[in-house]
Amino acid sequence: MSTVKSSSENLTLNADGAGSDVVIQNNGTETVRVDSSGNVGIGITHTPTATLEVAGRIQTGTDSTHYGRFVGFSGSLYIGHRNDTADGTIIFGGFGGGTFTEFGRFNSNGNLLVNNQISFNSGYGSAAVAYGVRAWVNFNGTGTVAIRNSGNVSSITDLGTGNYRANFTNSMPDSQYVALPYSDGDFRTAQPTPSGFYPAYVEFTVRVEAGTYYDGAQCGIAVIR
Amino acid sequence: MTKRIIYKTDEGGVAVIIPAPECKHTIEEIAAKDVPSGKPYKIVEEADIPSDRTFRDAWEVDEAILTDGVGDVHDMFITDPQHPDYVEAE
Repeated sequence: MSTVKSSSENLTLNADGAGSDVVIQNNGTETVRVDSSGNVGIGITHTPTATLEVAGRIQTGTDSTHYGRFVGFSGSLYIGHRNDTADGTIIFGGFGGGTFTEFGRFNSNGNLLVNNQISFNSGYGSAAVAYGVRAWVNFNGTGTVAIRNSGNVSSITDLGTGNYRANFTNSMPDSQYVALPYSDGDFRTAQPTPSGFYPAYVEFTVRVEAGTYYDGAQCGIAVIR
Repeated sequence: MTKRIIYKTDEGGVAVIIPAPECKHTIEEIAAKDVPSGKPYKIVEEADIPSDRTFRDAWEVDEAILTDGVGDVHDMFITDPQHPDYVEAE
């Protein structure tokens, strides 16, 4: 083994001359290059075109089971976090004055959690804040009542003919949301119960025009906030 | 999920809770959260609920059979086993 060593002062590798690069080879093949302008290339076969250019994975972490990884593969960029003892969450944030402030995260279930508002161009000429449906459910209110599909609804409570409660998996922050129930059938009216707005659930009814309660085959509700 | 949760309403009728298939929580956890606080409830099979709803508002239940638990004061799922109100799945 040959070693280049400096015990008591800086060690300088100097490609002394305009346009000269510092090149490291392994078994005669270039593996690392620092070009004359200070750009570093690792695993590439050309002069680096950015401050750091790497052909291959970039991985940072404390050991072999806890690391973040950036991988370019098949035309896509993969950004991942491996953590064998926790949930592998990817956290986004900023370092203001050296203190990390979280802006949002992808959790281990793939859910995106954003700490503030989401703004995007909705395609209707607006880039304003978008307010989403926080809960929804589609169910059959006839015969054996059954939920077809839902989001953020743990269950519905069948309180009687045409009388329902949608229970939220995760509660609303308050009761000041908009509830939009619906039902199939001609001359049917689906409306929230005026006193039925709660953070944990919302109550609503379905009636025919004359006011009689009605079980609809296509019933549901969407909650917006 | 083919289970249902029943409890007696304040008006003397029967409320039937239908769990969402997408909900990842157990029937016991759903019962603890979605049954009103203090209401005794029973977990039954879907087939035990009449499919004929002609007289739905006249349904009654004997409170003596509502022995599976009591609605929790919490309106959120308690998933921490260390929490004093945690409900363990059977």
